[in-house]
Amino acid sequence: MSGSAGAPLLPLAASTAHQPSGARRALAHLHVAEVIAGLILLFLLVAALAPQLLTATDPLAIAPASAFTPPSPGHPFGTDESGRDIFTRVVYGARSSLLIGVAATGIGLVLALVLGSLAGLGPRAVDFGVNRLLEVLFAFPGLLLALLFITIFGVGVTTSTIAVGLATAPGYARIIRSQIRSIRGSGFIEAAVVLGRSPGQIFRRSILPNVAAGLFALATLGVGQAIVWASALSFLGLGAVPPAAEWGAMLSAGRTYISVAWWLTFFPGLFVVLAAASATVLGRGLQRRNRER
Amino acid sequence: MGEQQAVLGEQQAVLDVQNLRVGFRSGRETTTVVDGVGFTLEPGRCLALVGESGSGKSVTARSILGLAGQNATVTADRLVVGTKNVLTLSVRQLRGLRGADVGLVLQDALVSLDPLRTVGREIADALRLHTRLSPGERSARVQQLLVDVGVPQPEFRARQRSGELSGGLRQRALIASAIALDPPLLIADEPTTALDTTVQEQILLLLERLKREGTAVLLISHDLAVVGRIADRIAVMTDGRIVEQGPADRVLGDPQHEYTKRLIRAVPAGRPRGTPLAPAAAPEVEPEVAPATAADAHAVRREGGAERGARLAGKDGGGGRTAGAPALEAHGLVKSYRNPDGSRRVVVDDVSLSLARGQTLGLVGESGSGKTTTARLVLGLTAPDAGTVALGGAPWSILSERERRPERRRIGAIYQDPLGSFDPRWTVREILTDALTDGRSTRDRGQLPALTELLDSVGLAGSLADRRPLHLSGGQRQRVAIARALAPQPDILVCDEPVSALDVSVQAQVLDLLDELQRERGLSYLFISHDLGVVQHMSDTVAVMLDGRIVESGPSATLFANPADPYTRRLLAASPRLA
Repeated sequence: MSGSAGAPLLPLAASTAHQPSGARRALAHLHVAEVIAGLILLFLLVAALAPQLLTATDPLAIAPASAFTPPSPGHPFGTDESGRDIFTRVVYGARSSLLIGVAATGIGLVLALVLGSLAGLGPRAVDFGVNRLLEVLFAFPGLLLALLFITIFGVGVTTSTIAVGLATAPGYARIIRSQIRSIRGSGFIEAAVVLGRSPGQIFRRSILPNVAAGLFALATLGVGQAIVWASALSFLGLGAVPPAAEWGAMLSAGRTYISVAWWLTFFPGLFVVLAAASATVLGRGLQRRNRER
Repeated sequence: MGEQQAVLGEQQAVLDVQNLRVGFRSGRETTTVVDGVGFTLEPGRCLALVGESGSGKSVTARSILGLAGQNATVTADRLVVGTKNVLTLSVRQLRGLRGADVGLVLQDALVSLDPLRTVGREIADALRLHTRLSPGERSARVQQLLVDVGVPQPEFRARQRSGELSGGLRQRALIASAIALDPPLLIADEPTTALDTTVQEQILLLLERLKREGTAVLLISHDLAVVGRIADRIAVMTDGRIVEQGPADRVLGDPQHEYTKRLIRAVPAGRPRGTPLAPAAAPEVEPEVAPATAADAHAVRREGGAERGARLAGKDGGGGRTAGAPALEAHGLVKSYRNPDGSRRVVVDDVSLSLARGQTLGLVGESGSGKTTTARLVLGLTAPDAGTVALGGAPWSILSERERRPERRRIGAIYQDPLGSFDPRWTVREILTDALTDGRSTRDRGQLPALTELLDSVGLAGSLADRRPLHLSGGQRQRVAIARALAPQPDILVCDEPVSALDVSVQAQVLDLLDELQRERGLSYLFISHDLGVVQHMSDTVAVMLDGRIVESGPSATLFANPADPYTRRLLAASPRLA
């Protein structure tokens, strides 16, 4: 008491001297795989936001004369049956793939947050009801659920995005529910009640942020999965429709020529794998870091 | 007796440690944890290694068994158990040493015994590994051992698993397995720390008996009062060194080293209410005051506090609060829970309490007595089945949570585990800003002056504000918890085992802080603890709980001087204190 009474309030200088800053510590613990994954996602992000920076060609411009050109300096990924540059199409395809992946995951998370919070915070009857609903949803494979939704609401990018979101929601909902349950019983929630916080305040300021911390890593993993699913739906002709530059659709179209022109399917397929793998590597890294904290 | 001890004293030492050093490597750095420790121990004697967490006492004990760890470097001029030099033993020979030559009893019997095996098999293990006894002979020996350590119904108990036993029985079973091979040396590392007072007493008696029968006991403890019960010699450790070593009476009665003096001074048992326990808060020279004088002085101070409390209450005495009413009054509280089989278990049974303004009401009892449930009822966290709680004369327990919420700032709480009571994402600054702004924000724009004041009032440096509680010491965490509880300017604090997880000297500082805050702010405390010494030191009135009921209550001085209820008497008798 006596010693600290006059201590100046300049805490930053003192504390940073002992602990390395957050950024430096994070860099020190980065794995090579995570750096590569980050670079790939950065490339895809640039491709999605400003594809013109990476290629000057139009993804839809056809040039029948140069159809089926194998990978060459002029066309690094080759050209397709109409002479369209595959590299350009893959670059432009990043936008719809990432958008579908992020949007689908977002839809799934929002839905899961509602269901999970209801189950985690609500009375026992609500918890029971939500759990049974989740079990029913779990009983169907996700893709089947998505197909059902598309059958009802029609083919298209929007419906397939929503469909993928719906299919992933039950998994997230379960995790959110159990996390809320464990946080609800912890000491700091009781401390907040004793301080006179309302249930709304406690949910917003204590429960939600603590759930979100773990969810962010999970969502990164989910984006990768959603990209694969969306490509699968497009491949089946239920998502993006040709001639749109979308990886799943390109795979589907190239399948016909797989024996004569491997590059039609190889490069879109490679990018589906790269995107999904990068998201997974980063997601796992985030999860590990959360655990360590 | 004296003659016998003299004879024993001439016997060869069971344990001879000279200049023991233990260092731990991490990366390129080596941290020295034990730095030149030396002692000897003869048969039938008890040496206590006393120190606070991090003093190196447990590492010392483990080194004797060759269990210091993979990355530890152990050196010593002598490290001899019986006739064996521990430093030169092979891994295989070390295994033979453990159990046969040295028995080890650890603090946490629940994790030290395999939950999936019966207690009998756990104890028989040592016999199976080290002797050629037949299964029949082994089981007979196990029964005998359980009888020896005072486990009733040994045949039945031997077939149970550790989870089915009470804490005391579990600890006895662990001691039984440690002495199964009649080792001449028994090392007991905090053997009673997790136990209730009356159970602790039984375990100490058992260790004392083993000692009388000729076993040498190396007792490791942070608790001077416990150690005083059975140790012949005491070695006080801090920072890896023994700073003082000598006969128990001499060390406790006439400590020479400054650190020993501080430790002894920090023991709250038997120290009058209001006397500072830690040197920092104490005046430089304070002559030993006679208890009567101290009590008087304290009474005067208390009055001052009460007056101030009444004045504070009068100032904002609206909301139906009566000026003369006690700060807190509970009447006929009952709470029961449903067992898995559908029957009801009464946890709190007709409990009535009255806490006067500016005073401390101590609630003492052993685990399972219903103390914490009472605290939850008082805090309005669970609704009582019957009975009422009133704060300052105004209704409290019968309010709906919505009505109670705005009034919650009048009563705060601090807990045994402060770390768990903080949002793990928040820094100290965010925790306190949240409490100061009524939960509107954790963002401290432009340094709230109240925050500095608050940190200052609990004796925390402002430089700690941007740390997370995880990176603070136990004492600092509890100070943050106290600061948070003080932020809404409550009249009452419910303190549930606030110092049970702390080292003695840190405990002393926190108790002093609570005392000081009470004097300054006229706070009323409901102080819950299993530790009689702490309760006696802190309380004006005391209530003793057993099985959900209050068996006795009254002014602290009267109750401790003339306990009326047999249970209180038993508790007092079992509670170790410094002579």
